[in-house]
Amino acid sequence: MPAHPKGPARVRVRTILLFMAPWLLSLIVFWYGPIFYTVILSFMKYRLIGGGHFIGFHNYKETFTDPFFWNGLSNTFIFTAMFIPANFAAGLMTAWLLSSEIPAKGLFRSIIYVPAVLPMIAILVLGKFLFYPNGLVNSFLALLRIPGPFWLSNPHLIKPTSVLLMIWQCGTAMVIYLGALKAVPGHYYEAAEIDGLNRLGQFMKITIPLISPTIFFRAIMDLIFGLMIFIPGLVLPEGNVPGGPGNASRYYALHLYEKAFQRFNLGEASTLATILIIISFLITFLIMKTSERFVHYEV
Amino acid sequence: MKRLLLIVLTVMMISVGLFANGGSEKTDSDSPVTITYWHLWGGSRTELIDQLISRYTELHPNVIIEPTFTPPNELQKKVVQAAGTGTLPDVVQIHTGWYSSLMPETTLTNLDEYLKGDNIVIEDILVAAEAERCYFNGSVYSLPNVNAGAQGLFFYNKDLMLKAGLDPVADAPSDWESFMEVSRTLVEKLNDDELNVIAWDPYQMAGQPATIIFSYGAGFPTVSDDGKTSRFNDPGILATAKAFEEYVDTVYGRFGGYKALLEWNSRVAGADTGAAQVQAFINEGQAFYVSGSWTIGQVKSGNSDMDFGIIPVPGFNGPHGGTAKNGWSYAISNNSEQKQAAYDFLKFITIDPAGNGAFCIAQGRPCPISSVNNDPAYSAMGDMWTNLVASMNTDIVPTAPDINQDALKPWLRDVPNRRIAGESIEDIYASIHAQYQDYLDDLYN
Repeated sequence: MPAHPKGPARVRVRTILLFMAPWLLSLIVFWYGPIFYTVILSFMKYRLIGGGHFIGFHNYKETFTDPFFWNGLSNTFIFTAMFIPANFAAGLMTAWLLSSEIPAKGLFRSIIYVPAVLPMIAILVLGKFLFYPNGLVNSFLALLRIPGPFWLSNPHLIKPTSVLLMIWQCGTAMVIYLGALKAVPGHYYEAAEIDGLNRLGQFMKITIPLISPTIFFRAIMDLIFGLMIFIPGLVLPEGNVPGGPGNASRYYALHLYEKAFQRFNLGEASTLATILIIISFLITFLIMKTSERFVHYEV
Repeated sequence: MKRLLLIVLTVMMISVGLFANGGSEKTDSDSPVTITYWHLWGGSRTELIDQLISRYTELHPNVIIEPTFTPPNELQKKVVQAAGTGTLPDVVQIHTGWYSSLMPETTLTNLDEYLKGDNIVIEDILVAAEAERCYFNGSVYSLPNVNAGAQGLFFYNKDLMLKAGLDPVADAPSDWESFMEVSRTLVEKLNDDELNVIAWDPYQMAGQPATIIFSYGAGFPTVSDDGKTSRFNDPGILATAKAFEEYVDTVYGRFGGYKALLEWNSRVAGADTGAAQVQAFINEGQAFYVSGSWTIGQVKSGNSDMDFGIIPVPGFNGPHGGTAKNGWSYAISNNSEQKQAAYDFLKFITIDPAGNGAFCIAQGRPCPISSVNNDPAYSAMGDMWTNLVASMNTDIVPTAPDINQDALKPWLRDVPNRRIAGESIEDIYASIHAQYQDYLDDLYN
């Protein structure tokens, strides 16, 4: 195609642009516009009332010397580091089990998928009742004569409990893995069986490499989900203590939310948002760059 | 000529029309006016607000009031956001502790001229401390809705005391030592191996956190006079925390201390919200409760059979109230297009005995309007009212400027969780100090 299309080609380009215009426009107005404005605000002392003025890198200096910034960041990284493998394992295991020939697998698929369509807040409120000191989980443990811990008021347990509740929604991952598993050609397994490879060997040497692009996609999605984690820190802690106990669930996004909407310090909140964008971009970029080593797009 | 006359007449008519409608803020008393109004009175108080509005609209049939309820813990966010975007309603409920962050000169109507026009001197009408909190930088920007002073009242269940072999009058605690002793006896007598009835939980989310009330009572405010510096690193505040530790050990040590209280909260109170904890007192699962005058109505409507009393807080240096300089008020948006009508309604719901006076009496809580507090309806409350007034005495403890309970409550509520996890009380209070200072810096600097 020439550099400047003429005639019918030009009309075609115009038509394409015309059809794309609503999406492009909303992308610029509702996505890139706010991101750009957030970056600008991050260099300003800005209050909801009374406007603001430029203060250079002051907000960044304040943020990097704020212990609650580092606390939020480390909580978020720890949560993400636990969530990605847990959701991967739960999603893939259920998909693998339900891709094999078991009775009533349609019913099981539905049962596992249903929580994925529930709002996260509903799952967390329900989970809160399950994990109360006298909740269902501890009552069950008591039957086994195991003393139940304080899941929601122990700084060491609040994040694993949040992860446990979040992987209730592994149904989305399951559906995607199920699709990937179905796409693996059956003759690879037949050949492996002839070669005497057992089920685990087949899974590790055939299934995993062949579905690695899907695993990679899910990992990126779970990474973004993990970095944005917010609601469990707000809802789950015992005593209605946002970020508790002992700031153990004060995730980065919760810290950002409180800066913006409880303290009305929009300048520093924008700085936090900008830093999060940069962190997400850097990690994703790093993973993409190194993904060639473990993601196999062709057999 | 005819044409010229027609043009002149038309111009005159248009001019008259324009000036009649837009030249003055004063509204015609017969022209219909709709006033938007945000308040925080939910639950049983919603009915009282409806009655308040009905009384006003009976007197002013041309006025339509459009109320919107917002829970107290969400109101500040909503009001500040609306103030920032110029979308406040005509009449809005605010907490005077928010003045600094609300920038009243920009967002609220200065009421000085309106009051002057009506020859109203608020100091002649209101309780002194209530009049004082209306001002920001020397001007009045809001008028008080309910009394801010009586935050620290000690509620006690007389039936449970009798059941524990205690005399509800003679054994009612008057200082910290007697409080601890009465609590210990009560818990011992009313429980076997499992903790079913508690005396008091120092880290409950009642009105103001107990740390603030007891520290103020001992002369240690948790925030500086200008409201910008946390005092949680003060040894006096830490002394309060240590006294609470001793209380939990003495009263609940046999059951497991904080762990037992946490488990009780889950099992008996049913949940971990402030509302559930009031409910525990109402349901007689808890004998003592430190809260504000608003709790009287809640307890009476929740359990009309319960025999309870109110006394000043049994503090470290003897009985005291728990006063706060700031409290709930109403203001008019600076963007209101009907300020005069909004002002008339504002007067009714703040300084008018027929309006706000009736609203306070119906709840059995003290009123910012001095004359209303002499109403015979209050004296019918007997000792309860006498003790309430004693607790309201603002001279006993320092006033508390700009305390933001919503920020502090969760951090203090978290203390038992952190203690159970093994953190020292010194470290916990040091971290609350850092967190509170960070909060105040964000809000004011």
